[in-house]
Amino acid sequence: MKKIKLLALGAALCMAGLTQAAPTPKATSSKITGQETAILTDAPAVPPRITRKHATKVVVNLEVKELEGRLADGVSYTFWTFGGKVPGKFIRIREGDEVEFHLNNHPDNKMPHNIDLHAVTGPGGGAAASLTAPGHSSVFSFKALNPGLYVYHCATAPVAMHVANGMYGLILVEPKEGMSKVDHEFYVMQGDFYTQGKNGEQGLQAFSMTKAIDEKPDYVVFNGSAGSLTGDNALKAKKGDTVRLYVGVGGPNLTSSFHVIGEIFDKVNHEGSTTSPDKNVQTTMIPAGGAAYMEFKVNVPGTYIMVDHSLTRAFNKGALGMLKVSGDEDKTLYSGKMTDEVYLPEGTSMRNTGVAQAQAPTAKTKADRIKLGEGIYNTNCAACHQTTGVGVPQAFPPLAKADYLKGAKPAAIKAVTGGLQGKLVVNGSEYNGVMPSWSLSDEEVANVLTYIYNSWGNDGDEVTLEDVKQHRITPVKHEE
Amino acid sequence: MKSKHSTFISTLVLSSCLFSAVAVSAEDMVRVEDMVLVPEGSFTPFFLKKDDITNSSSVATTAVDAFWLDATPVTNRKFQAFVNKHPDWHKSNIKKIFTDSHYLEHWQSTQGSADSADLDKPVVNVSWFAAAAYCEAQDKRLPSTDEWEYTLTDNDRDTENLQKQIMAWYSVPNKELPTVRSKPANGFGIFDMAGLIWEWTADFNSYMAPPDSRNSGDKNLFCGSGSLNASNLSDYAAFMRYSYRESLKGNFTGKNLGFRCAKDAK
Repeated sequence: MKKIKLLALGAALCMAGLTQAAPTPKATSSKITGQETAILTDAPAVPPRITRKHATKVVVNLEVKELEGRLADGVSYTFWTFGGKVPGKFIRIREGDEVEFHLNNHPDNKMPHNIDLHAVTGPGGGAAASLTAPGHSSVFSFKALNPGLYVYHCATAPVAMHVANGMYGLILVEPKEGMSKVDHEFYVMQGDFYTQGKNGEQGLQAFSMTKAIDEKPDYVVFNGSAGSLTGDNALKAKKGDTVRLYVGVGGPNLTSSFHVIGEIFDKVNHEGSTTSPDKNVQTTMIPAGGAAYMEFKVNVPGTYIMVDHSLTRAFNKGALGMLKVSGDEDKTLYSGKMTDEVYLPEGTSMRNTGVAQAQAPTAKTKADRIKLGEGIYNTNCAACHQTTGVGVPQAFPPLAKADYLKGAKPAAIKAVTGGLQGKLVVNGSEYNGVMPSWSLSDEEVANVLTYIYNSWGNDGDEVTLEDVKQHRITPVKHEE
Repeated sequence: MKSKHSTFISTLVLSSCLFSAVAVSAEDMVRVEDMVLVPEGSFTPFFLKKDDITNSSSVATTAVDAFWLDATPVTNRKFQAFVNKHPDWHKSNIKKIFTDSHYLEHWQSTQGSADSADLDKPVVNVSWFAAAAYCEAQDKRLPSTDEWEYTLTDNDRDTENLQKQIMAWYSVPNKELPTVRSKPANGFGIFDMAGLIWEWTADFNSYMAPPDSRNSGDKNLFCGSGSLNASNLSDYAAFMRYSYRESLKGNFTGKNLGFRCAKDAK
């Protein structure tokens, strides 16, 4: 009797436990309700956000097509595709969804194909169940257990060739709480291509097995061809919009140092993980067979270039895309070009200050010279001798209270116009460097030296045009 | 699916045939009608057979006995003659378990016969069952995969060029099929082993693990595991041939899938 009572109690407790467990979101939301056919999109489009709050059965119909298409201007290639384009169709489902996957191999195809979805838990990621001969169709189903952004690809041997021909795409498994709303979502996928001919060689190019094995691609491109995201094909947004990029790398071999020139990713979800993102990222590494998504607000209008920051891929092999942002400029965020000044690296021999020269006004008085000379000094001299004239110990001699200058206007003029090299003692310290000769007009030399002689405790002499004409070494040369 | 069909060859009649053919032939290659005697030899198979999988030692060469092989794939003309003689294999009569729905679908005339322009092109859209039945009706059989692969290797006469030829075929989309014998024969005197169509073999899926890898260990052709027991990892062409065969079932047909027949030499 006692035993029975205990059992009853236990059962009651169990029941209580069950009834308590039932209302948790996990239990309710993993129940499959209804059925829908997945909306699939070609890059750079992304299917709409999932707004339903429950798991459902999703039917995905993906057709494999082998077809000739454009790889670059005048260059075509036989792509093997999931859905007719490279990359393959973007698939968007929700965590907990049950997916019924139909892989259809078009009868015109020559090859058997299958699909390995990295979002699938199970041997081969679906590959084992989906090997499909041309003219046939395979069906398998899986439950989306883990949220995240995943690559899918063909995994039929030789897998490297199937992938090299463009058989990859992205599948997004939204977490139960959904994806936050943004103004634009784009789909970008990088891949490397190996052709018989060199980059740019015209006509239909066959796959080069040798180059693929050597991992020496002729093309590294976004979305299946050079120029797929440039010019009229550029991604577009308006100033102030939030943009989310879903970026995958199909490979087969190269990883991507993905970067948008002039943008900082506000958030990056590395490896396609939906857990807390990293903030303020410049360049994000995406492995072959991996993905990441990133968000940023476009504050400044203009064209932003997307690259694989392994830069010869961007500039020589095609890994370049554009995001064009329209809207009014905001000078406080980005000024545009304010000035164009001559850059003066140390140790060079001849400088032509063409820009300043063209506009140089002439001084009427000593005060004018000092005033005009200050600008010339700051443009040409301050980088080394400093705006305070103190120079840099052991590198650049001081001009302030410099014994070298005292009563030595001809030497100063010679130094500015002809340069200086070798040992020099100034105020008791030895220097051994190079000062370039300056292509300054007589007026400018007079002004800048007058400024120097009247600053930082120097004597206050005026250097005149006549002085300069008399002592200058290099005649004025206008290079343009 | 192992081939279990019998060949019904009358050894006596056949061998007398052979000897007379050998006697009259002035060429190196021995021919009877459209068949060529492929001499015995050996080759390095691309994958180990299922039977060999337990044997983990490195890949050995496989010996192949001499056998007769059709010099070209079976043409529409020949298959039409077969269908006329054996109406069970007409596209309107064929039993559903022997084919998928595309059987002879390129034969578009109302009578379900081959287009006259296609007569010398290889017959395609035939299932393994139909191919095997055709060969049997000629007192022949489908070649084994070993025989077929051995013939393709052509005694390694020009392996690199052969691979290129195959890869070139793989990398262009489907076009109109050419007629058989459009390109030179290989060293054995056999035409169209590469660059025309896929071909059925008697034991087309005997090399592979079952299509579900869950109970096959790692010996299958998916993804990286495909390279585990291959003999030449850079032979992409062979990878594709084997995975193509792996994707087939006996009732499948394909726009690029035909066959030729073989016969024992003795």
